[in-house]
Amino acid sequence: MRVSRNELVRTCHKAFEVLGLPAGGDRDAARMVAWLETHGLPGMRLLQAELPVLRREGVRAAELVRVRPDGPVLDARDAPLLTVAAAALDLACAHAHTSARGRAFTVVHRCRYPLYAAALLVQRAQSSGCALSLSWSQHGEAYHFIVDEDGAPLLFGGLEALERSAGDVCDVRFACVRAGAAALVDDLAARGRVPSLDTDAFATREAQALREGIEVADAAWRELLELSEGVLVAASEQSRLGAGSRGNDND
Amino acid sequence: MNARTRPESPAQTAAVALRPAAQVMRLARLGSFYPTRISFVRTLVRRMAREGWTVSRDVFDLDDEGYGTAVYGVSTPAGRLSLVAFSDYLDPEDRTDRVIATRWDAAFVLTAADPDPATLRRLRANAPRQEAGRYRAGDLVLSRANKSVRMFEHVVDCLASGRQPDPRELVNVGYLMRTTAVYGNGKFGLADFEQVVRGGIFRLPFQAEMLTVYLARHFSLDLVQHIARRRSPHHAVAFDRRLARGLGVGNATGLGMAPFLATHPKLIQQWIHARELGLARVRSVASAEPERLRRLDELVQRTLAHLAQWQTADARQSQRIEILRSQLAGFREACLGAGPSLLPVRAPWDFVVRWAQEHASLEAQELLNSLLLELYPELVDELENQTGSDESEDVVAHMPLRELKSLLERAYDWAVRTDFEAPDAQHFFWYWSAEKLEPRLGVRAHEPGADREMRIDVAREAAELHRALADLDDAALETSVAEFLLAHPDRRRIVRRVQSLADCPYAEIRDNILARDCLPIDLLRCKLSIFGAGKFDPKSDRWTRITLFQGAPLADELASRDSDDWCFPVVPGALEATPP
Repeated sequence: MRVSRNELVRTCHKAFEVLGLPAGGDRDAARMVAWLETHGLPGMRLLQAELPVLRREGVRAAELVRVRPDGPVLDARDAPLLTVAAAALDLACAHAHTSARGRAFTVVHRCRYPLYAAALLVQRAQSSGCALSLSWSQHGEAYHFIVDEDGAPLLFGGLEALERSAGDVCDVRFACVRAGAAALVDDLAARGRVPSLDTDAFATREAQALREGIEVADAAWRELLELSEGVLVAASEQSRLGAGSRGNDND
Repeated sequence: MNARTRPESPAQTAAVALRPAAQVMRLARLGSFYPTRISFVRTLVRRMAREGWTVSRDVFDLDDEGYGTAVYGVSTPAGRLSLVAFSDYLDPEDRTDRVIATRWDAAFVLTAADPDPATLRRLRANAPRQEAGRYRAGDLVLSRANKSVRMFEHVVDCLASGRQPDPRELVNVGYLMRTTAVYGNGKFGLADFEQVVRGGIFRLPFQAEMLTVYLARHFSLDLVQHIARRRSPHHAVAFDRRLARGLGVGNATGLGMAPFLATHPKLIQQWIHARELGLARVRSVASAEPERLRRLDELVQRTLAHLAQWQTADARQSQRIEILRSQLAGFREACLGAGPSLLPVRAPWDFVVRWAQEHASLEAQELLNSLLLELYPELVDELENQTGSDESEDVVAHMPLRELKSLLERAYDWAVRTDFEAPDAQHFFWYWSAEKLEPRLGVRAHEPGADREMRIDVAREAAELHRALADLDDAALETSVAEFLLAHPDRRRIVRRVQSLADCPYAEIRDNILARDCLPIDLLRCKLSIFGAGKFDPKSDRWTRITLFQGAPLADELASRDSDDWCFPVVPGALEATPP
């Protein structure tokens, strides 16, 4: 079925609240899923695969392992980046702000579904004016998601393998660069890399999703809806006396 | 004088500061707001007139009883839209304004799709089912309405009998149909707001929704005339347009709308700031020309007549209206009457605001503010372009906790001061109702569900955050927000909000919406007044009926000279409403 972006965000938000994501983290996670779907990437399919784990094991916060000169190291303990990306990004940005070189990195060990963090990077770049990147390797393929100071994204790495390997445990590196994104992109270009999705391609995909709606699998949507209904409170005698319950509507 | 001539630029006068948020953003004052000339119904109609929008009745396939399908086309310089209306028989037993209703007298979809037979079939299969249907990204707004049976039948009966309805009857209700929901922004598969904007016709929030309501009014007026003609082809008369113009569209609004103000703080900031900036500009005007004084007197007289026609069975609101009438009449006597005027030559409008603050109720103060804004279109109207905003919020990760604490103490002092341990401070909780799928309010001590409380309690969260920061030592206060959130991930929402709204003084309602003395009706009235609603008719402290577009020009009157002069409308021929 086709859903709107706002519908997807709102339903995910409630579902993540039911799953126990912390206040604020629930909305971030909802936007991460919706951002991927809006840009033709598999946010819902990844979530569907992850939901049983989240239901079974709950939400795990990342642990601080150590702080290196160029930034902190976290252990996600096999959690999806959906639940730990915000903290990792915060730390990279905070360290970059105080770093003499104007850049810092957060390394996150043992996480899954790295690309979920894309939405956060775009938003943080727009709010902070910093360039940001996220890098990881899965099945021998190196991926880089880079966002310039205005929030314009670039993705390097094979798209076909992206979804297949997304659930595998890997290490990721967040970079925050106060000086600009050009260096990040130039570095990749020097190694002969070209983006698999450039900024125009992202914009085209977003326009299409807004124009046509977002196609999601019926079963996945039903599961998400059912989960989101966990925020609902059943009616009581008292509540039935509430809004709109009195008066004659045949006036 | 040409009304479009700029009299004094605010820069040329002693600038009056905006009213402080601590004064404006209290629930009691927000619950006393009136529509202004930058309320959404006014800005929409003004734009329709300015840009020469036209409305055509493209399909009107209704039977003798008025059941069937109608399509209205709206042509704008940026494109064409259609309102598709389905009118169906409704058993009186099924006629309820409550959100749990499953059938309605009429269903509406505002769509950018070509209203060809396939589209009409698709919408016919879905729109009458409302929330149970599915819509496409080319569909912008979904709505439904029920007839005011008494008024509807009265008007049909009169027109069919060859006479006009009794204006006093029209005043008593004020509309033929009332909407019970108007959905947009992606609900049930509808277009996301961003897509609505990309369509090129709408730039600001709720304009598509307001257009839908405006066209629903149009449909309701066509419908009564159609049924009257079918009922009595030889004797029926057309609805006198002066009377028809006196009817708007009703709306029943309850708690479902209330949390919006807490969940859209940046939008609230924009709405209130635009209003306050307009008021400050008017207050800064150095002196008033005689025609402005005459215009104000004319508006005050019209408003007094409007108040006389404002009917409500609600004792609290009735009392407020009585006080308002008396105070407005007193203001007219003191400042605009034949005798010596209190109004100074220098900065007269600033005087009016100050005078009202000392001598008048909150309702009278805010009503006078709305009238003052009416006097200076050239200073106020462009502010309508400032009434949009996204709700992007983000964490400022490097901010030291000491700075966050100072920010809280400066911008959220009202929350930090609240004693949430006091017996009545957490009397209510907000929750999502399983029965209604909408926000509702429960009494914590008596109702189940507090464990699933909605996370909209900004004041309590801010106070808790401040307490957590107050417990930190000096060294800890030098650490960053990033480190704090790693250890306290559950504070992310409130930290992000406090940081993001640092420069948005009007973003927060500066009261505790969990407290026993919180009146949700105040939240509703604030939002509804910004939409442009009038004739508030509270049915309890949790829901109200209102009227939209009463007095607005009909679709073929948009080009008329008075198409923007319809604030506080009066139904001609009916001096006062009859007692309920």
